[in-house]
Amino acid sequence: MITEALYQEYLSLLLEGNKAGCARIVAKLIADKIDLETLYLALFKRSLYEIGDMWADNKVSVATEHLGTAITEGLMTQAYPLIFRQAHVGKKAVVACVANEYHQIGGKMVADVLELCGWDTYFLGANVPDEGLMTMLQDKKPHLLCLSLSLSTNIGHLDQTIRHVRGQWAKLPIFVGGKAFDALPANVLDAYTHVKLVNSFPDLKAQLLHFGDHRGQ
Amino acid sequence: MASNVDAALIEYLRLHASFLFFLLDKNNNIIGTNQFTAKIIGKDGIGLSFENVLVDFCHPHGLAGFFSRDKDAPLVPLSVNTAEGLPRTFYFMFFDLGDVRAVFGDMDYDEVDKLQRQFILLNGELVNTTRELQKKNVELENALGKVRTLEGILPICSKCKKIRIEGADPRRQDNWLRMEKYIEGKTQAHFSHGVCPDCMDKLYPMMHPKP
Ligand code: B12
Repeated sequence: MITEALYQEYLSLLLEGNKAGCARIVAKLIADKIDLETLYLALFKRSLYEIGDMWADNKVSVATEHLGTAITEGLMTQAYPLIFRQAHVGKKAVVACVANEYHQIGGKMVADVLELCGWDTYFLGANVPDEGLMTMLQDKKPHLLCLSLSLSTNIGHLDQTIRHVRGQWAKLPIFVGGKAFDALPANVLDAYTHVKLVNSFPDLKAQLLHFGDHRGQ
Repeated sequence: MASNVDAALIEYLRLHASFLFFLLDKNNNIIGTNQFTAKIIGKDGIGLSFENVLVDFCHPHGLAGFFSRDKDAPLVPLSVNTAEGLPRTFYFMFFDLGDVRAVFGDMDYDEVDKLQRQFILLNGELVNTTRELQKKNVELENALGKVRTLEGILPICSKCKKIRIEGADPRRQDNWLRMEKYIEGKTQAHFSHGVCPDCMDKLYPMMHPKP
């Protein structure tokens, strides 16, 4: 559904900051019944990664990168009417980025995929301080906590957050994912209990299928 | 050598540097600008009064009080009308050069940087709020759908209080449902049965003799 030509057209519109043009493409794809994961991965994620690489190679300015990100986040809202209409399966998840982690789009996509699987999600956004996260966990009593990490240098914050959470919820399942793990050793999460590195949507969905009913008190 | 360097510098500043430059006559009419200024205001501005380039400029002494012969003239934040239609603020310095006047306007790069960071955070909050609202909206729509199932006029038997299924043939007895069954089928409500005092008296007069 997303041909190479369509992707290239979308990317140039995004680089120009042409929100209306991008929105037209997304609206057409939604009308043609594109599935959410394809829209997210083959259009939004691919273009953001490409813009990130262009920025790292000094081919685009940081302002262009910011604009592309802001537009993408706006476009994601176009898909929400589809996401929130799923039948609920009675499970709750809290999704957050740890302190000092300002990359929130990956986490939000995870929250949306969980919604599509019928989960009730609470997406707390970027840079969530531990106190805020703990209050939310207390309040919502979720079955699952998902943490997203893009910067490998934020691994210390992740460690701190997991320790805080474990102080109160010894068995609450925690899924961790994000770009940071491309650059971290595979065993970086081995020290923790009930913490899994889940980095792709198929992997996430497979994990959800085997999910029990414990809330890890 | 030095004059070559100066000339190159001036040429570079005139064509490529990102600051506003206006050369004014004694009446504050524009007689020269640089390339950046032309890009921002959408024209070279020659012949215009400098005040007309500014958005809502209003000062009891006009621009007169701003001009200085001092190299460290104070910075004055003023907004200009841009070609895009959105006002933009520059920090201006006004120099009195005798026969002519020079006005320079620069952006505050720290401010631009701060705004950029704030913009990212605010945008993030805004889109997350939109997500929450969409979620709540669907929940409300679902709840409303449930409430709506009991709207409108219900045909009821005036004797036995059974309710007729909407649109069904009133002559067929199985199209009339007991009220409890009808309401339970249409709402989230359930009935628990008891007997009220009046009926208790009628049904079991011996158990509750009237005083
Ligand atoms: C947009 C962006 C920003 C924006 C983010 C705004 C926002 N609202 O999110 C802003 C401007 C804030 C930003 C800032 C910075 N950024 Co930046 N940014 C990006 C960019 C271009 C896109 C990120 C993105 O949204 N990707 C799309 C999403 C969908 O992908 P994703 O996050 O990987 O998520 C997917 C998976 O990882 C997975 N996933 C993610 N989380 C989770 C969690 C779970 C539980 C599961 C199951 C799965 C999962 O699911 C998603 C779908 O597959 C990337 C480029 C890139 N290649 O990613 C750089 C990038 C991530 N940034 C980078 C850098 C260096 C920075 C800054 C340090 C720059 C600076 N000097 O200021 C700061 C750091 C700020 C901070 N403290 O966090 C580097 C990181 C290098 C590294 N690995 O350490 C990158 C890779 C750019 C580059 N090529 O160098 N950035």
